[in-house]
This record gives sequence, C-alpha cells and structure tokens, in this order.
Amino acid sequence: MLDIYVCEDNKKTCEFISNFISDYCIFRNLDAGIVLATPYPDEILDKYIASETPALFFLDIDLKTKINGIELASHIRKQGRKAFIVFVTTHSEMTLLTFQYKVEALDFIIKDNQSDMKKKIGDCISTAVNRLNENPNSRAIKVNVDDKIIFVDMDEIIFIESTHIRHKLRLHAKKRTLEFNGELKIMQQQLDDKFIRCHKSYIVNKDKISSINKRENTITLINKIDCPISRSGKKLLLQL
Amino acid sequence: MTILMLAGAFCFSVFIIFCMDNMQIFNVGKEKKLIYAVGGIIIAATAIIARAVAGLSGQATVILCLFLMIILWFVIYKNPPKVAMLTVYIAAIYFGVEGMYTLSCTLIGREPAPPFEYAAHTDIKIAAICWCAVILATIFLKKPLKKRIDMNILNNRAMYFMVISACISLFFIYLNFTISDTLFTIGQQKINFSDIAYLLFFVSSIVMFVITLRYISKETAMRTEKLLIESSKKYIRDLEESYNALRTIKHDYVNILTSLKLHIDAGDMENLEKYYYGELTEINRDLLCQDRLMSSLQNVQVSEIKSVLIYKTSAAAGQEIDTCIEVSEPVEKLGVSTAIVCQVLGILLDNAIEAAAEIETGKKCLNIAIINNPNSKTFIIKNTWQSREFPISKLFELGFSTKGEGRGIGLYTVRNLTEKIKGLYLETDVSDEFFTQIFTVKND
Repeated sequence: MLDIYVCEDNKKTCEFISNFISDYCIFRNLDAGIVLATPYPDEILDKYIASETPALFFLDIDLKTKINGIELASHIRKQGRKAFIVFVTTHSEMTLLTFQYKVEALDFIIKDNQSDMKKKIGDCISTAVNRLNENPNSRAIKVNVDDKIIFVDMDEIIFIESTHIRHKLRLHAKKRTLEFNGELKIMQQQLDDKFIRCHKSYIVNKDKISSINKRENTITLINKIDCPISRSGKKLLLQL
Repeated sequence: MTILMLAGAFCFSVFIIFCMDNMQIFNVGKEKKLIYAVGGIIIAATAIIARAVAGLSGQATVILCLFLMIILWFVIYKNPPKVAMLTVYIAAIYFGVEGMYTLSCTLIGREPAPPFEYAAHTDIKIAAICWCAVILATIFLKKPLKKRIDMNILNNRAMYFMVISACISLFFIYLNFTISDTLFTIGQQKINFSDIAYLLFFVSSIVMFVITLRYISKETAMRTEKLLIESSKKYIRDLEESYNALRTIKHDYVNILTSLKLHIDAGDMENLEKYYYGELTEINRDLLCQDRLMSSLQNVQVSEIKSVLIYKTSAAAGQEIDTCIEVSEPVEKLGVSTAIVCQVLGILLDNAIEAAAEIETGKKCLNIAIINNPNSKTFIIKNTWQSREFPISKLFELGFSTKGEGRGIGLYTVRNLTEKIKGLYLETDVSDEFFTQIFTVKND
C-alpha cells in the first residue's frame, strides 16, 4: 500500500492533481491512493507521522505558508521512513540538482501544460510503486558522508574496503562507489550474515563472489575486482 | 653415497624451480617450467660428474651450479637485469641456508661440514632443518614481496642495489675460499674466518634487501608524485585559459558599448535601434548565455575554483553541451587546499565534458551544483552519457579507460587523492542516462 499526499496551495491545480491521481490508481489497479490533498503543510506532516505506510508526496515549493515545500520535504525526511518526494513547481530555472541532493527528490514536475504533467505524475506513481515492490525484504544500511546520511541497499553492496585514512571506508556497489566515515568492525555488526570479513581491510558480500583463487589468496568479485583474503578469511569462505 | 648426492642435487634443482614459481617474481610459464626442470637436471648431472670425475670440492660444485644456472637464465630470458636479480635471489637463498647451517652447528658445538657434503656427515638433520626453514620463509615472504614489488619499476637504479648486493656476496664467497684459518676460540669451539664471513654475508644481504625494498617503495611514491605534478600543471594551464576566456568576454562588452556610444554621440537613433535589435541581440545571445552561468558563479568566492568552473563550462558550451551551474549559497572556505580541490574538479569536469560530447543521439547535458552543508561543501557534477556496460569500480584503476589505451590517469589521480587526504569523499553513481560524481570537501 502506498499513501499519496498532495500539498498545493492553488485550489485548481490541487484538484487537478488529486483527481488525476485517483483516476490513475483506479485505472491501473494500483495498490495506492490519495489520503490527503491540502494546501496546509502541517496537516500533511501530522497525518504522515500518525500513519506507518510508505508514502509518495507531491509538494508545491511555494506554498505561501510559513514553511515552503522544501522545508516540508526535509521534515518528512527526518521521519526516516521510506518516502518518495516529488516537487510540483512553476520555477523553471530552479536549482534542481541542489534540491535533489538535499531532499533526494524523486522528480520535479513543472506546471505548464496539463498533458505533460499527467504523464509525469503517472510516471512518478509507477516508479514509486515499482520500487516498493522491487525488494520488500531488502534491508538498507545507513552510512555517513560527513553531514549527509545515505541509505544503501545491502543486496547491492559488492564489497567495502578501508582506505589509508582512519575511519574512512569505500563501498562498491554495481552502479555506485562511495566513500564515507566508518569502521569496518562496526559496519560488519550492522550488515547481515551475507557479509564476510575476508581480510582485515575488506568486507565482501558472499553473493557477489564470482571465483576464489586459492593459490593467490584472492577472490574475484562480480565487478571483476580482485580482493585479497587472509588466512582466517579463507577459512570462512571455504566453509560456505 | 653417489645416489644420495644425486638425490640431493635433484632436490636442489626442484627446490629452485619451486621457489621461482612460488615467489612469482617472474611469471614462469608452463613451457618454461619444463625448460627449468630439464635444465635443472642437466645442471645437477654436470655438477655430479664434475665432482666425481674432477674431484671438485663442495663449494666449487655449488658455484659451478650457479654459473650454469645463470647461463640457463640468459638463454631463457635474454634479459640481464632479470638474470642478475635471479642470481642474487638464488645465491641469497643458498647462502642463507649455509649461514644458518654453520651458525646452528657452531651453536650446538659441532664441526660444520663443507657445503653440500652433509650427506657424508652426521649433521644432515641440521642441514635439512635449515633448508626447510628457508623454504618456509620464501612461502611466507611471497605475499609481502608481491605486494611491495612492482616489477616494472625495477629500473636502473634498483639494479645498482642488486649488483652491489651481488658483489658483496661474491666477495664473501671469495674470502671464504681463500682464508680458512681459525680466528679465535670460544671455549672448545674454534671460530673460522668462514663462519664470520657467512655471518657478515647474511647480515649484509638482509641489509641490502631492506634497502632495496625501501628504495622500491620510494620509487612508487615518486611515480605517484610525478603523476600529481603533471595533473597540476594541466590545472595551471586551465587556469590561464580561463583567464583568457574572461578577458575575451570583457573585451567584447567594451566593444559593444563603444559602438553604442558612437551611435548615441551621433544622435543616430535609427541606426542605434537597428544595431541594438539586429546585431546586438545576436551577440547577446551568446554573451547572455555565458552571463547566466556567471551570475550563479558570483556565489563562488574562491577565485581559483571560480576560474576552473568558468573555463570548463565555456569549454562545455563550445562543444554544444547544455550546461547549467547551481550555486545557491556562498561558497567560501574549504578545509582542503584549493589547488587539490581544483585539480579534482578539473579532472571530473574534463571527464564529464568528454562523456557528454560523445553522445550521438540525445541531449548533451552537464549540470553542476555546489551545495553548502553544515560542515562541508558538496560538488555535484552530473552529465548525460552514452552508457556502457563496465564495472564502475574499475574506473579508478590506473590505465583503465572506456576509450582505448594510454588514458585513465585522471580518475586514478582522484582516487589517490581521496585515498590519502582527509576530508575528501567521492561518490560515483551511474545510471543509463546519467553519470554523477558527488565530491564532498570538509570545511575544516
């Protein structure tokens, strides 16, 4: 189930969006629906905090209240639950990347012609529903890049290595590499048992190993990176 | 007796092949292993015949073996430095064993047998233990050695160390042959000159080994340094170019204003209008486009970073890439030296521009954002690209490039910097449409 919230101060646009969403969900037979469409950000926040289902938000940026859409988005993010945020805006030259980075927006919809808007709203709902269904059991791990907290799906992680700098680690996933603050020891406690400390400076995901080279004491991972294994790590690996 | 000797010699040649393979200093291919095996047996046989027929002493036989082996390696590798290295390596192993053997014999108070005549002596057990110890040592040394030594950098200077080391060993061998007087006695035990020579050789070879290793790691560091210097040179060139670009814009503006002034002075409204709406709008389109970029750059108060951004974005615009910069808050202080940040940005932007320019069908876009976080600044560089399938972790390896040979230094340099400098973090994300680099620099 996906809750959809709309926060838009222009009554006409608000109606247009919420009607289209209802139609879209019914028409596509999606497990999603509008729970609230309002011009007041406080109502959105209260309702969201009270519920527990994952949610998709369509937020206008300029709300003409004391907080704007971006601040509302960061409040929603603070709840730490799975939420998708889409901004609906008239600002065409808005600083998109900045906001995208700050609140991890799913998309931006520019209020211009209605057919474009409909298409984009539809796309956003489908993406959100797909992402929810994709891997309901997968767990994410939280990493800190200085001020920013990033969630990485554990299934995506190939391996984590240490760097020359104390407390700085590097994570490798299929479509992402990422440097962040942390310690391997603590990381391993947070990760599930798919992960093996195969060397003092490496943790690998055992599902992502393509081969073990016993002779060279290395393992080759699915991203074709060789990573060394220690004697105790080898033992752990061979037990699998 | 002869059978024992034969077995010993055979074991020795097998041992050497085993060491070579185990150390993997050189790749011993399958066919070469065969040459080694055959060569080893021939050498052993020659040595035994020489010993039996000509009555050579043990040491002379070993020297003969080494000599034959050197010839064999020359035949195989035709590469003097490699052969020198191998000789030293094998000699070190052999004399290491001999040194240990002599030492342990002396310690338990027995007369050591001349080299390779253990079989005829009661000390065969001690000798066997020594051989085992050295073999084990080579097995355990394999990993650290392999990690440290990058064979490509064993160039001339490293070879000097090797040659010096070889000379020292030969000198001790020579001394050992010529002087065998008893120097002094400890209790009942006579200490021969050869014992001291072995000991000195052992110590000196360890020292040489350490020096060589240190030299090699220094060399690696120097090579990295050189790469860094090269890319900073490029950065300086970029900087110059960017100032030039800025000057051109300024020059254009002055020109336009001057021609406007001419019309105004003459009171020629008709031509002024014509000029303004005709030519000027044409010129302005280009300039205004630049201007839009410039205005968001006003917030960048670190002039070096600003110039890199100006230069790179104008380069991008030159390649018909739709470029956009977002800097919504002032960017002032950075915790890491500006030169390094500029260097990284230069590399990332170069790559982004190159990747976007490659696109044949579809939009060429480059979006740049600088974001102020409470304790850091984040630079986001996001570009469209012609997506390819390759493991993204490989991107940062030296020489890896999606576009042919002799490239792939840029991201390797970046990785080197983020690996060693505190307060730099790089995140790389790829999707089918976009390639994104998120570079975070701490404020202090």
